[in-house]
Amino acid sequence: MSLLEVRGLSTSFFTPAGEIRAVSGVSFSLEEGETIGVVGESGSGKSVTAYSIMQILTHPGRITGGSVKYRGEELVGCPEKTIASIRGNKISMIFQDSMTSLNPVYTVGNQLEEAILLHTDREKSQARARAVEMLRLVGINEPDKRVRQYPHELSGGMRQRVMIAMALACEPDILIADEPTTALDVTIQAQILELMKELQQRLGLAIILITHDLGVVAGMCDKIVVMYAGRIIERGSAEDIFYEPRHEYTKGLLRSIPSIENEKERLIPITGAPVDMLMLPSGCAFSPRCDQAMKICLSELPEEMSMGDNHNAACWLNVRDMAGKAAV
Amino acid sequence: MSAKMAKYIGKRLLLAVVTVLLTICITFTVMHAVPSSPFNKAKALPPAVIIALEAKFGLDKPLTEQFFIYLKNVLRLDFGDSIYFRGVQVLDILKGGFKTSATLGLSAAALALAVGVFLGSLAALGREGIGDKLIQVVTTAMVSLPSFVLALLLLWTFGVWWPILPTRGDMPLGSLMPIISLSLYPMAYVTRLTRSSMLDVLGQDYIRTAYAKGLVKYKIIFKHALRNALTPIITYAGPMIAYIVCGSFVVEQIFSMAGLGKHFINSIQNSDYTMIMGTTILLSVVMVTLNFICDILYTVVDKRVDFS
Amino acid sequence: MEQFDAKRFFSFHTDLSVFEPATDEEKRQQSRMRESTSFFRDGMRRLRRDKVSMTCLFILLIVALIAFAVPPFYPYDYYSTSASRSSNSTKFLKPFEYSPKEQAILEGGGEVFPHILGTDDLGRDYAARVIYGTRISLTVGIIAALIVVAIGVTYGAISGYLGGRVDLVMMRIVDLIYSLPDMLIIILLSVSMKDIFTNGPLAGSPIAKFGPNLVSIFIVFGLLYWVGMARLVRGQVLSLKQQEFVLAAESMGARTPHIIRKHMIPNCISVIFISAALQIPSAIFTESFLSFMGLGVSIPMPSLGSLASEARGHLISRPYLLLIPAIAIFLIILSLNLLGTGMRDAFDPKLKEADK
Repeated sequence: MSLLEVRGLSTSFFTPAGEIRAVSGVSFSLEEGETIGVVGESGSGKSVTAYSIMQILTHPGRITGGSVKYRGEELVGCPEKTIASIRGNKISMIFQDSMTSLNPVYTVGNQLEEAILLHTDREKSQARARAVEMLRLVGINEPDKRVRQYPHELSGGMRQRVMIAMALACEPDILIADEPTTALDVTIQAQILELMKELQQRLGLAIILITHDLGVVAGMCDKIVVMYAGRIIERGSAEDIFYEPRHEYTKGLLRSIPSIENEKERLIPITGAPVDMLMLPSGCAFSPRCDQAMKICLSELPEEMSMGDNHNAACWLNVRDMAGKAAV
Repeated sequence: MSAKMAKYIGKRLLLAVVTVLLTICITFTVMHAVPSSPFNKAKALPPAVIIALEAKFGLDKPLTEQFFIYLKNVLRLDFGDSIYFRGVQVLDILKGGFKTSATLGLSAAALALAVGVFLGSLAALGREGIGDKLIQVVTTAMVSLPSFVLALLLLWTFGVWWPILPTRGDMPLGSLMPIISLSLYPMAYVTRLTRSSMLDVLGQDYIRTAYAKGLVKYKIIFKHALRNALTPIITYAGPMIAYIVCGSFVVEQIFSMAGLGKHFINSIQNSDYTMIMGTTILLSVVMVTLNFICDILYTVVDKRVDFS
Repeated sequence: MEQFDAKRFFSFHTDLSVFEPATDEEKRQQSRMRESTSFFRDGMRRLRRDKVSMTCLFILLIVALIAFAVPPFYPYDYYSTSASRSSNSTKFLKPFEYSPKEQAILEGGGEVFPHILGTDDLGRDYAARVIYGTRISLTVGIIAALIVVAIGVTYGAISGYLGGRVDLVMMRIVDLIYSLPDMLIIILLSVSMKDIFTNGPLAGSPIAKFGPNLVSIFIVFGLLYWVGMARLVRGQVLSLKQQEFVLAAESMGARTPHIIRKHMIPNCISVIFISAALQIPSAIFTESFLSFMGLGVSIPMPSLGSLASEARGHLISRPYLLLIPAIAIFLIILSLNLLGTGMRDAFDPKLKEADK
């Protein structure tokens, strides 16, 4: 039994302009202590996937199908009490913007203690002690002083550390990190990633790392999932994705990031704009932007196909190549 | 208190003082420009009154000198005698009405805030439901009637058509209807403000964090949302004070309450210029002071305010 | 991940032509973009779809039609009392009641137009007064809004466009006016204006005949109420100033007034329009408030506010004297408010999202 198993998860936003299928039929599983990276551009549905797992979607978003199982227990459609007892306790989450994600009118300590008091039977003073301990764990100096400060009195990096401390205070099994480093300076980014790695080893966490930055997932993730327009279009190990990408979008993503090895090569941006989620093409959602697009790409939705051990991609080009080989 | 904040408060205080001075200036100018004002070569007044006025306000001296005499008198809250009520000091009339008006105004403000915040939160929680729709319709209707029409309609409904409430302010429980009619408009406004501010706050990232922490809905509403949602309501304090002060003119008149408002209207109808002058200055000081306090309160409550 | 059975492609029998490259044209058809419409048209389309706004607009048009088109054809005027020779009616007729004189005419085979809403305490036809009062109230609202727009837009645009020190000084003035207790000043000015027009050198001038109180309301609006609009427009201009098309115009040597007129104001127009619509109720409120204090329109001219105020004395015996103008005010203000918010939602979807 996997720690977390997501099957055919679909989530839509019901706006006045129409239904936006932010996530359609996403499936993956997460094992204990594993790190899975979810990559995609903004609007690809990676954050909505995370919110759906936690069931913290805001109006007018709604899960329309699929299942999310935590240690075999179904979370989709369970009572609010059940999911609330799992949130922050078994599955925790940290967000992109630590400034707005912390309540400006309460002290850091107050917000840390809240989760501790809620999920454990510690007394108020014990909770405060635990809060200080957690702050020390995430590498904040003078934690006794910091607990009495307000979020706006801390730096961005420190606030993200507080967020991590808050998420880990109840020793969860899973940490979902939604773009945890996007809002930070590059040097701080590395520190936070380093911290997450270190804590993972120490606490045996499983992490779902959501990011648009391939560089961030490279060093951290056992598995990588690439999303486009609400669907998983490629998945595999970091090596598969970086060295043998089998979907044109993934290839495009890789071409558009600088690296030391191919310093002299030109960076090639992916042309065109992200799809209009209200009017998804009937075929592959990436086809209008794809250089290699074929007639079939425009009309038929490609399914995920195995490209080797644990490496899947949903691209008609693979089918063409295979069919070509078969013909020869 | 940070230096930035001190500077901000200083700035606000300066603005408040300048505003009061400007109001005094305008009053002085108006009193001299109006043809039938006693300050402007009074005509149909008994000689004794004119002599008293001339002595008090130095009406025979040059205009600039007159202004400073006037200013000095005003700062000592000495507005002279009422022209209509011979031999009665304006200040004494104002003192008599102040308590009635202050009680009325504060009760109305408290009622408007309490009910408004409650209804607004309720509407936000049941967004798009029947209750929310109903609250929206009723509040929209309520802000579409002038204060005195509202008061008159209330008076007719509960005083004539279905007589269950006393119609005069001096009867037992008589202040009930004045308070309600004065508070309806700000109540509706506060309700709408709370609703939209609450919805705004509920969409904030820290509410998502609170959910992610495992808090349940009602706890999130009361601990995380309400406090943040209430901050914008303080910004409505200024307009609300203005509304209540002006509304009290009308409401006191309609329900026969001997407050500042009734005196003010009477003095306008009687062309009692010293009285008009005194009331205007006193009320503007009250309004500017309350506004100033709310400004400061806002910066204290909202720790994120940028003092620029 | 192997549990997600990927399709085996060897079983895939199909025409290989589907693997031919797609042309750009085909790709373009796939990326169906929503048709782009101009900002203004888009807003108008949204507004037209909004039933509430359209109902309000309809009500307003009907009310305006009655107020402005009916009086010339209406057999009664708003000022003839039972005492004046031209009037056959008497005091306090109930709706559709006739005075003895009118009864006699009817019996004699003559025709008398009924007093639809009866007559008031002086025998004036109440329907005529309500219609005329609506006209006055609407006029006050619209003229006041126009004054506010004219002064506010000019001031705000200049301040925002010039920026720097000029802007600073101009905005300090706005701050100061904004912090004045406006209603008190309005009352004070109305008192003095009334006095100036009746006792002063302007007594008997055309303005005094038109109604000193009306004029003073306009003057007061012109002096005090434009500041909100000025702030709004300045904010808009400041943000527009950063945009490329203004820089482009500047680099081509366009002069300041030209840029303000050609680029700034058209781009602020929806904001101005919406806040002007919301200014009308405020002016009608102010007028009715002043009427209540005896500082409104000059007798015998009626406004909805003064009618409601006059009805105060007859609340017990004739509540409809209050209810009718109250309903008229209510309909006008409600429609304007709802239309204003409807327009705001239609032209600024972002605001609506924040509100939801």
